[in-house]
Amino acid sequence: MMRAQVSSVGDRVRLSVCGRLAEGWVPELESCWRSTRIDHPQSKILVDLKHVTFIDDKGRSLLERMHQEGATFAAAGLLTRAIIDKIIRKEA
Amino acid sequence: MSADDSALKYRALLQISEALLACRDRDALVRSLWDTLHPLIAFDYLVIMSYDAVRNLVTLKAIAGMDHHDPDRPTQWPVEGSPLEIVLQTGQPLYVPDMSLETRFRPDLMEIYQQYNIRSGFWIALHTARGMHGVIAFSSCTPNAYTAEDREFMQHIGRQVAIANENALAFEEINELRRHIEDEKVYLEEEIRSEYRFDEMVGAGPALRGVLQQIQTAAPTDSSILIQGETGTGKELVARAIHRLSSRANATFVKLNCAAIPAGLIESELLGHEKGAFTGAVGQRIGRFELAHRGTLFLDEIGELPLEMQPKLLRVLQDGQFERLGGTRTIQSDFRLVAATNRDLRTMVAEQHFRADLFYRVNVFPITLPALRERREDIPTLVRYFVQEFSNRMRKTINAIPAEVMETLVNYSWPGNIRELRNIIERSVILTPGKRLTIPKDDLHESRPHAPTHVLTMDDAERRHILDALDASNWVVGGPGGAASMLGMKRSTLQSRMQKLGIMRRYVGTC
Repeated sequence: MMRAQVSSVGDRVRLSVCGRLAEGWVPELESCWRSTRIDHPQSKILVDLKHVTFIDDKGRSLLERMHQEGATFAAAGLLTRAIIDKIIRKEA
Repeated sequence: MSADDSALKYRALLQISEALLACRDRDALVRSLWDTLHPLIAFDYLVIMSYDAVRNLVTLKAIAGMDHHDPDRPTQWPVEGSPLEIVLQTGQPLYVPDMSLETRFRPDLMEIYQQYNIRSGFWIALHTARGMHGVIAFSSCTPNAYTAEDREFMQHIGRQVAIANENALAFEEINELRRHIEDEKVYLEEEIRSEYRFDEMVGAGPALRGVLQQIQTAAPTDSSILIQGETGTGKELVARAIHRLSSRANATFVKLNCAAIPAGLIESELLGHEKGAFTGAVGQRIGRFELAHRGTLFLDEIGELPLEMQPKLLRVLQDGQFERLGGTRTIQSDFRLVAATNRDLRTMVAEQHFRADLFYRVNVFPITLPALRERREDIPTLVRYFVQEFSNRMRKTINAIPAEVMETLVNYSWPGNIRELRNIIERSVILTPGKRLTIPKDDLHESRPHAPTHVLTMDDAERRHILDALDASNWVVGGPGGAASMLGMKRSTLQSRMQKLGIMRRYVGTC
């Protein structure tokens, strides 16, 4: 199961994700990401992954694309942080 | 009543009987009654209601003559002050010849009768051996609509409708139970998925990638699969992944650990038994073969299957048929077999501890899971995964693994493979006082890199090597391309070694 929630304060937008970012849930997050960008075209979007329990390859690919499109990430947990670090290093 | 009238009415009774036999749906029943009876009896409305004796409520179930979808019309009301109360009290059908003279019914019901201009009505209880479970009501906009003959005829109808209504009730209960069971199944499968996380195989190294590719290839087929690997490498995880990716994913995954069941009971576990089949068979029991019908049967530790049970398993795999212990009825079961073992079945076949024909039947698509020490590149990812899982669960914050700790973990030999790694990480997370992971040193009994944990005797190693050569040469011993030539020895030398090691060819096939 995965749940994504969007909240905004001023010009700051937070897309909070919890659960499993894997398989069938990945397109759901992608759809949520796209509509968030449309709704907040000028805002920086922080993707909060602190409550994500697992990320598979598809989830990883999506996060890479989101990073390329301007997302920043907040992550907790050794594995999630390692995945995000790798994405950021790859981009740099 | 004239003879023609009688004939018409009895023909109508026959038509209704035929309609009732086929009917499970009250709406269809009421439509059929309307079409059959309307030429014979004057009524404007026909209603079937069910009666709940526990809550003393009447529920509208089917109606003809009125608008079905009137949202303002109540569909449930108390028995008190209704015609059904009088029917229950008297045990007789109730005839109301002129509703305008009625004072026994509740005002809200009288309003409804006025709204629909109901001037007379006949209520008949629906009785079967199960008891009274409903009522059928014929209503008319004309007062005094029904003669005594009409009422007698309608009571005949009522007796038949009672049977159909009872069937409809039974089907409703069955459907409700089925829905409930399906919901429970979905819930339980979700629980298993969250317990085993079999779709979270962590790692990106080539060894694991190879296994995942094999799973993707083999799962959609219906072929038997043999999963080989040391203990703790995730054989059950792979088996569940295969089931989930197969065409049988919506059916049941049935598991049996052949080592966990006493040898004397394993036959009953697989085949099932009838009551009294043996001492202790106090009731009928459905076996795993039957439970796995249309699904997947996972036999873990198949190397521990008793020799006497092996031909019986082979027969079921070949024919899809068996009888329960103590039973005579042949039962069919269509299941897909996935087996797992940490034993060397080829050696067991050579030593006659496992049947060759069963081995070849089970080993259609072998998948070998690498030991954790063969995929050390995945250890850091696995460690982070388990630390994250357990620290979340225990509400601890552990956000760093010292380099020397990771090095120790990577270099350890992991005789218990991933299960051992998981347990050690869980213990470490419990014992870590701060935010940097510490490992209790006593937990890692050796830190030699690449230490082998399973060493074969020289004879076992030689036997395995010779068997591999014989398989490759299709058991041709001599000549060019023969096993002796591959092994770089004379045919006579190889034959002598085979005799010494007890290597004999087993012929595949049934006796």
